[in-house]
Amino acid sequence: MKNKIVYLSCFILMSLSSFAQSISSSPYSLYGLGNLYDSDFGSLPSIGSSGIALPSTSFINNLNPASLGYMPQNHFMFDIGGKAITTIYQSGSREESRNNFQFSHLAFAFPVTKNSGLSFSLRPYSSSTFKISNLELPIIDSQESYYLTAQGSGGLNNLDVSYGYRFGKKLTVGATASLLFGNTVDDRTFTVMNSITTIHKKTDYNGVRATLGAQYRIDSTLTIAATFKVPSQIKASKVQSVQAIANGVVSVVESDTPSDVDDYYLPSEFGIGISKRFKNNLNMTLDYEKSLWNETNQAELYGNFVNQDRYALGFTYYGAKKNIRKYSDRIQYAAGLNFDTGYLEIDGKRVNNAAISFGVTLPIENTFSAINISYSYGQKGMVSENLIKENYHKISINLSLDGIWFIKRKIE
Amino acid sequence: MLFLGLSIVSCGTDSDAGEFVVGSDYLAVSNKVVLIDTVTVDMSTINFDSLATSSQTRILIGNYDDPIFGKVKSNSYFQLSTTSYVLNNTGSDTEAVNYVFDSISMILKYDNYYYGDTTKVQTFDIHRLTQKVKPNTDDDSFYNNSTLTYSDESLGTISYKPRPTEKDSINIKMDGTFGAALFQKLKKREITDFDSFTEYLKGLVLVPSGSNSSSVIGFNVTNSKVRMYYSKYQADTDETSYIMDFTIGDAAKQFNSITLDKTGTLIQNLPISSSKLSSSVTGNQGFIQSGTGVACRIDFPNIKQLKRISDNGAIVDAELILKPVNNSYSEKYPLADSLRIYTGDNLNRISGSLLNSAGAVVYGLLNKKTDEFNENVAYSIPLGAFLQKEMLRQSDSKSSLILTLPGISKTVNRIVLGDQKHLNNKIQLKIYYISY
Repeated sequence: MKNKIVYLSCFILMSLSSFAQSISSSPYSLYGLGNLYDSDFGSLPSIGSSGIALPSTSFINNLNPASLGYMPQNHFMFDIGGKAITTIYQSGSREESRNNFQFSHLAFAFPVTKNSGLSFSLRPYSSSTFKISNLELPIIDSQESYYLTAQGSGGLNNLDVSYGYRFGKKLTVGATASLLFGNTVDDRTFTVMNSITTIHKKTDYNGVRATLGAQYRIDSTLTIAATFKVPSQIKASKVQSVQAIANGVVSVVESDTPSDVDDYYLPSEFGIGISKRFKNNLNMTLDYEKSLWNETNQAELYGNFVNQDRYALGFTYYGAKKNIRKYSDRIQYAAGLNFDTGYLEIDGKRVNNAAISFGVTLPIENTFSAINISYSYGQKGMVSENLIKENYHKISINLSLDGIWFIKRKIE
Repeated sequence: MLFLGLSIVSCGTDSDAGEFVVGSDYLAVSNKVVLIDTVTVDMSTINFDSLATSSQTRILIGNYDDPIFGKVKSNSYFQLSTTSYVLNNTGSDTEAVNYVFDSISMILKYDNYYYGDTTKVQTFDIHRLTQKVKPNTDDDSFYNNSTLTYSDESLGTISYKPRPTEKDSINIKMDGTFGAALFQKLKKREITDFDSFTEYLKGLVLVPSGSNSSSVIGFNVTNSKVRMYYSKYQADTDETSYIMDFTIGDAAKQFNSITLDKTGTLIQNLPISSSKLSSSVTGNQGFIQSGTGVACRIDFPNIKQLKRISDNGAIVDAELILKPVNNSYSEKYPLADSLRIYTGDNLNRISGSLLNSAGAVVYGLLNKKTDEFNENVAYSIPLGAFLQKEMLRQSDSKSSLILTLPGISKTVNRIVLGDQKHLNNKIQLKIYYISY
C-alpha cells in the first residue's frame, strides 16, 4: 500500500510537470482563461460526454459527484487518459492542420463506507496557448495600422475532491470541491511606426468552486440526475513588464510591476440527465446543461460571454447474453453526440461546437480494468470574417484501472 | 502505466505559425494603440542675441531685400597675413635688385554658397579697418552683431553677376596707391613681420553697397587672398612678375557681421532673446533665419495630460510634421534639406540637441515629394522619446524645441513654417500611444 502511494504521488508529480507540455493551441484561446479542455473519464468521451445519471460502478464518473455513492466496496479505481487531436483550422483564405497530444486527467476513487465514496482528480482546465504573427491592425482614430505579434501560454489546472453518499437504494447525493489554479502568460509585441513595444504579462489565477449533485434511481433501468455548479470568483493578479524599443535601444517602461486585473467569474451551471437501459444490452444517456454566463458580467478583458447550452446524447451497447469468459462479449461499444452553443460571442457570432463520437471499452484480461478508446469528430466555430472553423479528429484513450485492494490487503 | 502517460505527452505538438486569429477587435481591448493628433502645439519666433560667426571659414558678403524677413546684409571682416614679409630674393645678397610695384588685387574663391537672386548684379567695396581684428569680449569669438571701425575710403569695388557654382573666383582690382604704399613699406623693410604688418594694415572689410545687390555669396576663407604684383625695375617685357600673397591665416580673425532690418515685417517686434513672439500675431507662422539668429520655437503645453488617457500608457512614437508656408520658398530662396532641433527652456536657453533614445542627434528631414499643391513638402521630426519624457516629467517645467537651419552661423537661409491654425500648411503632431 505504501509503495503504491509513493508510486502514485510520483505519477501525480510527473503529470503535473507534463501539463506544461501537453498544450492545446487554438485561436480561441485568446479569450477568457483560454480554451477549455474536455477531459472526461472512462468511457464518457465515447458517449458524447453525457452521463450525469451514470453511477461510478465500473469507472469514475466525473460528471456527477453523487455517482460515487455507487462505488463498489473494496474497489480502488484509477483513471488516466490522454488525447491525440488533429485539428484543421480554416479561415476564409487558408487552411492548416495541426497535431496535438494532450494529457487528459489523472484520478482515483475509493469507497469510504459501503454507501459512500471519495475521489481525487487532477486535470488541466484551460489552455491559453495561442499565437499571432505579424497581424496588421488599425490604429484607433487613424487610417494607419500597426503590427501585432502575440503569444499566449499557460493555463489553469483543476484539482477536484468529490464525495458521494447513497441514501438507501435509490438516492445518492454528492459534492465536489474544485480548486482552480495556474497562470497565463501573454507576450505581445507591437510594431507601431518606427517603434517596437513589448508587453509581457503574467496573470496568476486561483479560486475554489463547489459542485453539488444528486442521482435518483427510479427503477433498475432508469436513473435521473441533476447537478448544480455554484458560481464562483477566480481571483486574478497580474505582473507585467513593458519595454519600448526605439532606434535599437531598449528602454524599460515598467518592470515586473503588479497591477490590477479583473477577476474571472465562473457562472452558475445546472445540468440534468437521464440514463435508461433498454432490453438489457443498450443504455441511453441524455444530458442537458445550462451555464448562465450572462450573469457573471465578465470583464470586457475576457471577451463577450453569453449563456451556454449543452446537449449530450450517448448509447452504450454490450453483448446481450454476456458470457464473462468470452472476451468479445465483454467489449462495450458506444456512440454519442454532443452539441454545445459555447459561451463566447465574437462579433455577434457564437462559437458553437458539435461533435460525434464512437468508442469501445476493452477489458484488460480478467480484471475489472479496461481501456476506453474513443474517436470523435467535431467542429467548432465557423468560417466568417472574424472567426475560424476548427474541424477536429480526436482520439481519447482512458485507462480505467480497478483494483480490489482492501481484500488483497487483508490477505497479505 | 507510467510510460503510457509519458509517451502521450512526449509525442510533441505541432507548432502554431500564428496565421489564424479570431476577433481582431478584441485584441485592442487590453492594449489599445491610438493615434493622437489633437494635442496643442504652440509655435513662436525667438531671436538669439548673438551667434559666433568667426572661425566659420566663410566670407559671407552681400545684401538683399527679403520679401518676408526684411533687409539682410552681411559684411565680412578679416585680418591678413603672409608667410614671409620679404620681397623676392632670388639673386645673391650682393646683387641688390631693384623691384617696382605693379598692382594689387583681391581674389575671392567661391565656396558654392549663395542665397537670393544671383542673376542680379552684386556690388561691394573693400575698406581698410581702423581697428585691429580683436574681439571686444573676453572670449575669442566675434558675433553676427560684432562690428569694427573702418575708413570710408574704398580700396576697391566690384560689380558683378555672381556665378558661385560655375566660376572659380572673382578678382577685384584694388587701389594702386594703397598697394604702392604697402609695397614701399615692405621694400624699405619697415614691415618685417606679422606684428609690424598688422600695425600697418589692421585688416579689411567687405561692405556690400546698400542699393543694388540681391544676393548673399559665400567665399572660401582659406583660398581667398590679396595678391600684390611687382617686378624688377626696367625688366624685359617677357620677364615674369613676382607676387606676394596675403591670406587669412587665422580663421578666428575672420567673421561676418550679419544684420537684419525687420522694419515693416511681421516679425518687426521680435522681442529680446529670452522672450518669444507667438505665431498668433505673426500670421500663424513661425520664422527661422540663419545668420541673423531668428529661430522657431515649438511648445507642447498640454503634453502631460496624455497621462490621463489610460491608467498606464506610453508614447511609443511620435512625429512632428512641419510645413513650409506656400510661396515662402522658391528657387531663389530654396528650402534646406533638414532642420536642426535643440531643446530649450522657457527662456530659450538651449540645453542641447534633440536626441533620440539611442542618444543620436535627431534632425527634421525634408520630404521632397512634390505634388500639385506642395502638400507633401514637409519636415518630419521623430519625437517619441522626447514626448514620452515630457509626459512623465514630474516637475512643472516643460522643455520646448528650438528649430534652426543647418549652418546657422554661416548662411542666411530662412524658412517660414505654418502653425496649427495656418490655413494651408498646418503643423501636425502625430502621437502613437499604447495603453498597457
